[in-house]
Amino acid sequence: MKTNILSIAFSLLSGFILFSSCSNLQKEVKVSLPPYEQRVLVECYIESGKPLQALISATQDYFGPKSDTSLFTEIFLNPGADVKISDGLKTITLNYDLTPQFYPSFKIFNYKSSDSLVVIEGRTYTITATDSKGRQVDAKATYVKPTQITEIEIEKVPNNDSLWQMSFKLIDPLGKNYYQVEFVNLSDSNRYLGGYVTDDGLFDGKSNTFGFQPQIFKDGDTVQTSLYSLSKEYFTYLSTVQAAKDGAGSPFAQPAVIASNINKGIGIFTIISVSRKNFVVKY
Amino acid sequence: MILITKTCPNKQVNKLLCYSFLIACILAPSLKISAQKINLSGYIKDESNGETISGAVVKVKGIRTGAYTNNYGRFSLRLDTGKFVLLLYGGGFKPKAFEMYLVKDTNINFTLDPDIKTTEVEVRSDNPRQQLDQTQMSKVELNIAQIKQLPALFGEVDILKTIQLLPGIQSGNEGSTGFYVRGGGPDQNLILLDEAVVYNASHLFGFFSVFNSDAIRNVELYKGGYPAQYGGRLSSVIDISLKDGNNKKIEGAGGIGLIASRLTIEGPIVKDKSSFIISGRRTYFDVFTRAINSANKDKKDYNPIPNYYFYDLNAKVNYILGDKDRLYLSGYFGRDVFGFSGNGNTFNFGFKWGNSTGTARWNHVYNNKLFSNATVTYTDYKYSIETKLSNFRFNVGSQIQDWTGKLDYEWSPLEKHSIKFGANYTYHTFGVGNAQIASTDGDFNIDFDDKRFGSELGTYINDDWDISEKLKLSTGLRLSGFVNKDIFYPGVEPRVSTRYKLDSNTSLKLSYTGMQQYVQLVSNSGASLPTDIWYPSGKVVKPQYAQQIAAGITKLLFKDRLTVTNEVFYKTLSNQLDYRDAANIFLNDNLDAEFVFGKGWSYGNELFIQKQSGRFTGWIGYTLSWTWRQFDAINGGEKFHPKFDQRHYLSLVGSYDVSKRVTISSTFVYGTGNVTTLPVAYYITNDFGNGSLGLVPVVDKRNNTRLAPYARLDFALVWKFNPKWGKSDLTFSVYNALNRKNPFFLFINSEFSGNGAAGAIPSNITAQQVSLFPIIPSITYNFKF
Repeated sequence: MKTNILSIAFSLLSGFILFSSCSNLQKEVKVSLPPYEQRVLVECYIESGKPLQALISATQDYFGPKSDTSLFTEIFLNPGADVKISDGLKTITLNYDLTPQFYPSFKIFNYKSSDSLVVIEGRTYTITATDSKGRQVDAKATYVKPTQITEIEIEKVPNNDSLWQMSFKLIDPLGKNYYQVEFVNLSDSNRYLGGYVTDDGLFDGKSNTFGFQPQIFKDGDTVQTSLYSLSKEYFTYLSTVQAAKDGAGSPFAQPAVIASNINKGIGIFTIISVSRKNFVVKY
Repeated sequence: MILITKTCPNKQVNKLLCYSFLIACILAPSLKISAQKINLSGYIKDESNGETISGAVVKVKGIRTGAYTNNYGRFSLRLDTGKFVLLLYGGGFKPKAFEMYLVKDTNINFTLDPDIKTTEVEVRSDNPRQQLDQTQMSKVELNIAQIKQLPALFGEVDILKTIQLLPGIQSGNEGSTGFYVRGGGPDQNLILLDEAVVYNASHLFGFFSVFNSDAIRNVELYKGGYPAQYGGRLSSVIDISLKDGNNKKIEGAGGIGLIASRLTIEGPIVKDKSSFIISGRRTYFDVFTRAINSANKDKKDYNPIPNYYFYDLNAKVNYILGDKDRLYLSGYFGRDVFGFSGNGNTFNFGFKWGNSTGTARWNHVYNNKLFSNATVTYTDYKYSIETKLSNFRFNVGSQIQDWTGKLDYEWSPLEKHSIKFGANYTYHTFGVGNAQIASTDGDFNIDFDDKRFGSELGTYINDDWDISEKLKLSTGLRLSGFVNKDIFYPGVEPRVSTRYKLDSNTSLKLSYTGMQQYVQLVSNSGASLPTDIWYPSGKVVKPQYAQQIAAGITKLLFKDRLTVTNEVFYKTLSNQLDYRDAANIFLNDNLDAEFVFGKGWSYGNELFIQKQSGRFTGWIGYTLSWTWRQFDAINGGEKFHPKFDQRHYLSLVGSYDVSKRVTISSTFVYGTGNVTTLPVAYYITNDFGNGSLGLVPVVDKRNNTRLAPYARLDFALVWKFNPKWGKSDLTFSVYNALNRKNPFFLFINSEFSGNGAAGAIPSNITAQQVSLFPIIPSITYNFKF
């Protein structure tokens, strides 16, 4: 009797192990999302002296009954919107123009103007947009003086033939500052190597080094480092966008509501402030 | 200690005595003394190993006088002089009767023999009469022997997971030891191990608790009606006592499981006077991963498997100095260790975390009426992460360390009153965050160390007053305070509970409690992780405060074999803490700016039906509850459900002794799905610079939907052997026997198939549910010698 029960138990155990190894732990389910009112999206970055461009679009329901074509139309083709950017002295109207940008990376801004604005510290810039459905949004932005990259450094990783460690230095001004760091290999079709967003909480008013994970480079590669000085609004927007992305697929991340500076809409309107330096890899 | 008294002979008011206490105004008219009374006191111990027995019943035959032993096994009883028969009962022990003739105050110790039938076949829990008689409500005592027979994940017996089977307790994520009590947060549970606070009670990111069941004597859980000696947390108290160790003979016990093994040795240092227990446990995933990594170390493209293990160690010694004094020293040390080395030695990652606790206690009996316990505890929880990336080193960590001194007294001055009073002081050191980030060439160096200090103090008094045969009242007050730099927060925490007996088998109970909490857990991960930080109240973060009112009925049925308890509760929580969107809690020198504050409330009904004796034991628990939070800065100020809000929770637990050698058991749980957050829309954005078109999920509100309901059926079979050298068993356990795919989390999966702009637009969008554990069988070999 004892032997029989133990035999059955062991047989069951073996069967269960086999069965559990075949289990698929992810499955598609039907969910009912709460109702959500569509919001107008504005994405606009002003660079001093460069032609103005903006994306005027709208948020989309995840499970809306739309085909790819109608989605494309709704997201990118939004003719009939009235888009204006002003620095308080001059107002420029942006016209519908779907021509995409291919360099340095693929982008679509559907409203453009060949005119530009000169960015001046202390001046307030505004954007107003009214889409074809009559929905009006607006936003304001100010210029943040760029913190300069003072020194760049690239050196071989010890005991490794192909890996290079890159970093650059800056002197952080006193007060709260926000940065975005980017590394791009200009010699490899402008390959984006990566970057991050941070504040100066750990080095306020001090010299600091921003490094990046070791990369493989060829002899002669030119690497561009960019240090963006962000407004608090842009930093918060980027942080909440990242948190929203992180929280959408992980049980360990806190989901976040995106903090946008677009009044009655969503997206970002900001002035770009950047310091750049390139370095060449030499074996 | 609880006195049960029926008669009310000649007494006089002793108001002078009462004025020395804070609640004198309530008690004074009732405190009376009797010249004909004597005190009988002493300890009740287990005859087989000398361990003291808590919760044992001491009763005088023929009259209603009786008492229960306290946590140290001590009782005190006020009696008329003369001849009487004393009856002693203890869960899992043979009852005993003693004929006694007493003419003066007497201190005497008793022993009870373990009931062989009970311990091997029949599992008994604490006395149902105690549950009926005492004013204490919302309390559950866990029976360690019964826990060991229940199914367990990977065969690892876990008291915190058993607690999750009780009504009023919601579990966190699947398989997690985290729990939520009556709408409270995970940091609102006071977990005590031999009176030392355990700040992070989990191993392996919450899948296992730090408590080794072999070393534990008893576990008490309070969900409400908190006795005045407890303070510092809003929602629950779990008071865990380690075994004292066998002071008669050397004994050993252990187990070999799928993922961990454990060993416990206990025995006398000086027979009948002093004993020790030492218990250890360790996992062995890393033995296999190290071997695999070693075998593949020469392969160029091989990615090493991270090494992970955890271990813990419990140790305790005690020494009986004499009839009046006893010393205890106990401690816990545990660590989780995670390590990873990348190929090429360019990346090394080490992550360690764990608790250390130490407790020194001195029990002293002043006289038959007054018992004291002086305690010093040390608690430390810390984590450290060491990363080496090429020529950069990145070390971060956090820590909380407490030193606590306590004095607790139990005084039985009068026939109808049992008074507890005491005071405690804790000095907290909060290592909120530290970091050393440096390059090996010295060009770059950041040293960050955010350390804070706080003093927490409390004093309390509680009186159990036997007003009449039917009515009993427990009145207590706890005064607490917290000092952080120049800020002082006082706290007034009333504790009142009453019991009214409708008949000999039915009692009604009502309680009201106030609780204040001065430390909070900073975690925005959505799950309890080792990197969560404990943070003190200060200028911005005010102490949390909770008030709870609970009402219940307890009824014994079928000759005390069935205990039915039903309780309703309403709890309010103020100064609740949450985090702003995208809060940065990692190495932030201004954490205060990341917090938002609000309030919470919860209410519900809990039904608990227990069968604690016979061949079949178990319980049914059902909870119907609502939990809410409201913050000005979250969801536009609208009220919302926190993730652990669960409308229905049903648990069925059963254990049946098929024979003396075979026990089968099963648990079934069903609960409303946890609240979660899903994005409701998306937009396509370019990003500036070198980023390209991408999808951004839009979350409109936190906690805007629910996961599917959770249901799980587990089985276990314990097959016992009686080898010459002792006892052993094989425990077969099947977790999630129906192989149900319970939701762990949901996400929206967007697939892309086009090129250019079309490539940024999702071609297929689906909601995906991820489950954690399929059916998991396990086998554990346990032994005792």
